[in-house]
Amino acid sequence: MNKTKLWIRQIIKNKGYYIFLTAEVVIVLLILVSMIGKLQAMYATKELGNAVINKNVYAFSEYGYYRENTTEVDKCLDKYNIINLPTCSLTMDPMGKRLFMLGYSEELFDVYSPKLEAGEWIDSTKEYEYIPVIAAGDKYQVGECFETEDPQLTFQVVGIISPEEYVLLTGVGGTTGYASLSEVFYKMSSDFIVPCDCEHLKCVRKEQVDSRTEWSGRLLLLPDELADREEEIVKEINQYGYITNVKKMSENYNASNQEFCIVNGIVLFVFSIITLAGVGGINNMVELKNEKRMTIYYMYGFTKRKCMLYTYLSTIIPLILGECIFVFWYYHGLDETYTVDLLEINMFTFVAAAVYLVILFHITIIPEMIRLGKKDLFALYKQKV
Amino acid sequence: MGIVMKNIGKEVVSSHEKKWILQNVDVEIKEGEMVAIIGKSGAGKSTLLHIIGAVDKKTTGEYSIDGQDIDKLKDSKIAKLRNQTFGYIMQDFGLLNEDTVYENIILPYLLGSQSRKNIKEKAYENMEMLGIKKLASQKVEKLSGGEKQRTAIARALMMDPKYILADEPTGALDSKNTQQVMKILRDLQKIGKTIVIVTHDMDVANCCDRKICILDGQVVEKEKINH
Repeated sequence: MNKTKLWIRQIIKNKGYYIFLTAEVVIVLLILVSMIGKLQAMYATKELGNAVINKNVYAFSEYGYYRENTTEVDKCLDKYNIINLPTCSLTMDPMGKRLFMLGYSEELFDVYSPKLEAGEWIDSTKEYEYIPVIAAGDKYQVGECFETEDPQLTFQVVGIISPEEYVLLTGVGGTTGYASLSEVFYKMSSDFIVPCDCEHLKCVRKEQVDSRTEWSGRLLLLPDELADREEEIVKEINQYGYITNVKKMSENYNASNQEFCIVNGIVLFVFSIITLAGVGGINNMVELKNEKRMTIYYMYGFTKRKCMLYTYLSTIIPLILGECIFVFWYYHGLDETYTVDLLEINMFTFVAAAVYLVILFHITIIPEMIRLGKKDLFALYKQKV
Repeated sequence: MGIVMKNIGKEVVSSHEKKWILQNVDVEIKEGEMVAIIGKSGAGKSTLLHIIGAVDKKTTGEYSIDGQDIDKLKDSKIAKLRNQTFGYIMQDFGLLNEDTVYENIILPYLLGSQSRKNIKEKAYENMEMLGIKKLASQKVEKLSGGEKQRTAIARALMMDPKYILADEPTGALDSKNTQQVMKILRDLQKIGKTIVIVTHDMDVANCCDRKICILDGQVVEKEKINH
């Protein structure tokens, strides 16, 4: 207890150094978490582009004026037989339990197929006995049916998707020429993906749900026979809003990821070096101050191991403080300040960032500990005197 | 019982060269004695004191303190010995300048594993005895040389050690403070402490009961002083 008090008192006396190093740790963590978060997101979304790019799909969002006067846009799309692939959010309370569903149009099931954990993707050409749904997570089993008070609404789970999976949603996609896949892919946050307002598939109808929210963007599928006139058609649609090919969005997404990794990698490298130098330099300063202290502590009852432990704990404290501050900050608003799209931040991110910093710190601490273990504290002190 | 050293040798490696700084040293210090270790700079007298105080290790020989063979003690026991059996006084005072007088004095207690009551009273008692009570909350860096050495003595006495080891305790002091420090050390001897002083000041050495003269790492003379 006395020794802990002594240690804390010592930390407080050198608070300037510790505040500086802790701030440095927090900055490195900020960069690290976004970097690792991005790498995780890139890994999680690496198949997203492949799920749709084989088709000629465009993300489109009307200008404000046309959003309220959709007839002109619809006329234009009808003229070329362009297929609209809307998505919507549905909520219903069929069994006294509120369900959140992501409604897909029939055609969307044909042009898009995410990674499933079990079962199969909904096939628009297949005859289903009940309304087929894709469930998120392990709450339901493939083949499981659930009825509602409405005899028309009996669902059967045909596939399972991970709740961590990214799914296609027609958000405000294609807003600029640099639109990225991250504008149309979002993490699955509904309980089910369900066919909505379909012609052939058994599905949920608008009037059967408690609420229905159309997503503001659209996905447009250009029929193969229009391939020759694609440029001309896209130009025409462009008069009504922003339009970008999903393939292009995928390229942009990859390019922006690459750019992010290069820029953040450089920043991370620079800050790692600064931290390394900071830890090393400040440790040296503290150590110089502590050398006499450790000699006196040794003279008055510390073993060399205790001196090493004391020095080690004193060195590691900014790392522990920095990580605590960062985690607290993260869960109290910091996550909202990350403006980078598609970040996958979870416990692994924190652990990976912490391990990186632990390694970084120990690169400087371990040689110092070895040196302290080998040196004759008293002789060194006497030499200086 | 006291201190018994036989055939003590200490070898050090400096600039890849091995050198014996103590060789075949036989020393016996009885309880309650006040002994001076004298010799020229580099003769090995401080090294001998450090070996006595268990802050340095001998290369050869046997060393026992109060019948305990130091070679048979674990590191933690030796650390306990340093904490409770020895009190150290150094030429540069060995104080933590950024800490207060009181903080320096209670340090041996904080570093040790022994739980004692009335630590504060004991610290103030020592300060009172050494005339530094009013300096308790002063930072050491603001003290004069004499005050610093008295603080170091107060710290050395904190755990009520049997042996006081003083390495050039008057080396950084003027003659007035030297006399004061020597008087304190003699008073400590009177209350039963064993005092070992390393010095090259013959006036200081002559205040002791006995002189051990070291030359080139070997004991060349043991002289009893008749006061």
